[in-house]
Amino acid sequence: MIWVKSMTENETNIAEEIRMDMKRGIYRSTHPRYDWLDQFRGMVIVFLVIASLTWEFSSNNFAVAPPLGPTWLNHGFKYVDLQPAMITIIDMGSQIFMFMLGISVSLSFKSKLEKNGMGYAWMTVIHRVLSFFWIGQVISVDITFDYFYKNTALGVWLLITIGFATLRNLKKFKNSNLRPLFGIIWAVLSSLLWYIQARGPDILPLNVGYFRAVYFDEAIAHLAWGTLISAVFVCLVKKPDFRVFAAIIIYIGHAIMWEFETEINSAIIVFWPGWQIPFDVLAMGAIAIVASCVWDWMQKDPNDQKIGMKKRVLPLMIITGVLHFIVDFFQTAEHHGINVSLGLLSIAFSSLLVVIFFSLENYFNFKIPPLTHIGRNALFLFLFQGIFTLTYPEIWGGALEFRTQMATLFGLSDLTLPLVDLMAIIVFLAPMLVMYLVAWLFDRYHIYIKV
Amino acid sequence: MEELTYKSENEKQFKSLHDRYGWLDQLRGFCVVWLLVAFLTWLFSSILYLGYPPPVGPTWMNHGYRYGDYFPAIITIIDMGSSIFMFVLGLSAPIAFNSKIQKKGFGYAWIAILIRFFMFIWFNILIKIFYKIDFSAVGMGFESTDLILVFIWLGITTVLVILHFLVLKGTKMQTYALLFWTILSVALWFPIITYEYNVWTIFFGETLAYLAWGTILAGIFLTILKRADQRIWSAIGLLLLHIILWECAKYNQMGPTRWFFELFPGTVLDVIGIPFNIISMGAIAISATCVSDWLLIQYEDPIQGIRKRIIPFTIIIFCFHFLVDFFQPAEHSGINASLASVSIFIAIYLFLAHYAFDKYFNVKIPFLTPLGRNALLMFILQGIYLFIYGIFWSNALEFRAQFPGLVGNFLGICLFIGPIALLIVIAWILDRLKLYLKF
Repeated sequence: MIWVKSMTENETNIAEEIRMDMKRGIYRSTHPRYDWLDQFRGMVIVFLVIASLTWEFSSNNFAVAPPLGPTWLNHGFKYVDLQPAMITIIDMGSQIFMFMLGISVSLSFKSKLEKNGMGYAWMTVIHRVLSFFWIGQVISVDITFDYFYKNTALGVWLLITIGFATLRNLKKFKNSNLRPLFGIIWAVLSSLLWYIQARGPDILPLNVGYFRAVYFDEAIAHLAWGTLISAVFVCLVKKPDFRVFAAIIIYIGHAIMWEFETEINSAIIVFWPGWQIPFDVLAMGAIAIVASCVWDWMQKDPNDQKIGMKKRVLPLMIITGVLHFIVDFFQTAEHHGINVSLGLLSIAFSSLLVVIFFSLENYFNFKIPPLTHIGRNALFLFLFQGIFTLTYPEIWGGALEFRTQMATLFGLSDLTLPLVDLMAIIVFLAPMLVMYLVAWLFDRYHIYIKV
Repeated sequence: MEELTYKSENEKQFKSLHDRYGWLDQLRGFCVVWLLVAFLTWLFSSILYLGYPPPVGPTWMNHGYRYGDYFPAIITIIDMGSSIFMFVLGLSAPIAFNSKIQKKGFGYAWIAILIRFFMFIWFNILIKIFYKIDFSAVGMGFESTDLILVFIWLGITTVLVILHFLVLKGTKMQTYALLFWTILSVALWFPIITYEYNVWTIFFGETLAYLAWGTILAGIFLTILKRADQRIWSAIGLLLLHIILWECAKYNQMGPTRWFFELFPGTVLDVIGIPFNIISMGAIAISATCVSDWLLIQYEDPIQGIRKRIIPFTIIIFCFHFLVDFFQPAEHSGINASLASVSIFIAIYLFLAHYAFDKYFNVKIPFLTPLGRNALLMFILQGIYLFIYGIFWSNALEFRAQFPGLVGNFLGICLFIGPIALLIVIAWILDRLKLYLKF
């Protein structure tokens, strides 16, 4: 009810239209699509693909075989691993992705809360969180294509997945509470079955190391926790001007604990062996909370999102940028642990991207067509690019192997001749083209895979 | 009637010949702040692979090769600094050039460009002389002939200043006198440094020289090709020429810049090599002039130009960079086509952001405008900071040895923020007094 009260007349009308459509059997997204957000998502996916390729074709021997692709489009530590780290845009990749998810949490959570109620909204969040954990489990194992028929647990998983996917997409269950519930059951069963697969006969006792790795250390687990934390705070603190203080407090706590990391971790180990401060979870939580605030600030005047941009988002961008600059003197940004410096820089950069994409659509009236198709199926394409990151290492171990193979293939004496570079371009562009084609086909047939 | 004409001529002396663009001042101010940060991170760099203590300031705000000097280089936004600065200069070139042609004629517009060219070269000479000063030596390291040249310059400058106030002010001769003075300054100060730097390093081989030549090339192509849609092909042509020359030079053992040693022995090119950086800076400046003109395709509706030309060009230039970088990775020491194209991309991105802030969101970061309005003076003041800092510390190791731990971090922040704050105060005062140093 509180949400209904806080809604504008325009939003209430849209919600009413959607409800009427549902009665007539017409189903559509519970909230209007924002093209600039799809464009933003699409750009993040493109950069994630590039990042996974530059990672794959990094080099340990610059003199013999330089890495493939622009160096600034790779992780800083894959260029050279020194302390303090060199931070590139790619090092902020998962944080920018988190920011994007944080915006979605606020956007879709509030919308679902209004149209389908609290239970439904929370079930969709939990479904998303559990699905992320499961994806983390999948990523953590070394998958081969014969997995599913050789492994009983995963064979069962495959059948369950087909069953639940069918159930969830039946017209009868669309927009009903059962749909996210099916999702949750599926995600729990999936996690369980993949755990059984990973642990084999040693299912019990539960392995702390495995759980910590999958549920706290994996980049995808950080996204899950960030989503959950932001949803909690969106629910608890309605006003973004107050909610942002939760993020500030988290960051202050993070900075203090980072300073005394060894002492605190030694104390934690005494009570919970194998555990330590979940720095990345905290940092991602703060980023997601800020992102949810950004979206809510933009709704300050729903008829003119520019107002919120001007009064809150732009100042946020400048303040976080300046704060990063200051904090970095004490706690230099790192890649391996998302500290406050990297978190703040990522927020500043993500806010700038939001401003740019928002302006591109609303002011410059410009769209980069492929980005919309990719952005609409962002999550699916994020997983789909896994095919390339699984396949490529089977063929090449890095830049040296690639260059050697190509030079041998064409009978070249030098590993850096233009023909080798030309092949490298093809190896980079092919996955992007395939992904774009898939995204375009899915968009054409209105197939959107979401959790 | 005569009096009225004289009055209006006089007014023109004190106000700009064209409308001020708020976003352009903001963009210039932004560049000034980043240039200062880059100067400081450069000074407080460290050699990390030798296990030295960490540098002072964020690593990504320093030149890539000051972090780790490998091939291919890691490229940061700071590595693009001079290229972005060139772009910003190019952006205002058509506005100023066309405005001067309309109001004072073609000759005046070109004299203004030549004045800027010689001023850049003269500043380049001054910087070299600045670092030559040895306070412990007799005559501060200068010879008696050097001092004679300086006195001649001082004498002529004084005469010209007096003439300016008595006779030249408000007349056409004032411009000719200024051009004469800049050429004379170059001619008189240049011999002071000849034994350390040859004519080619001063005129072709330093950042300020690249900016000078970029300005000239932008002026030439603005004159020859009026339409931006045609002019942009000259920038593309220059980049392609650069790629071909770079590729040919890559496999020459003498290295890219000395390639012509073998090809044209005994010629001028034998001495200077291929002026790679001038070619790429020219391409950047020409691109910037096109962006500026595209913005004004429809004066009443600049968004059309942005939509139809500027954004598509931005996307194309990014793809161009991405592809070219596979063959010719971006470098810091030489501005190759890859670095030039990524610089154009980032520069346009910054331009669009500032344009949207100003025109769409109606937001201005207050202190950037005064900094941008006196960008050149601020740029010169930064050099003084760097010189003073350089007396105390030459790298992070020295600084951290003096101020270890947290004290060093706190002092590091002060050493960075102090100069920025002081620059802002100076810029603000000058802006209040409406004092702007331009050329």
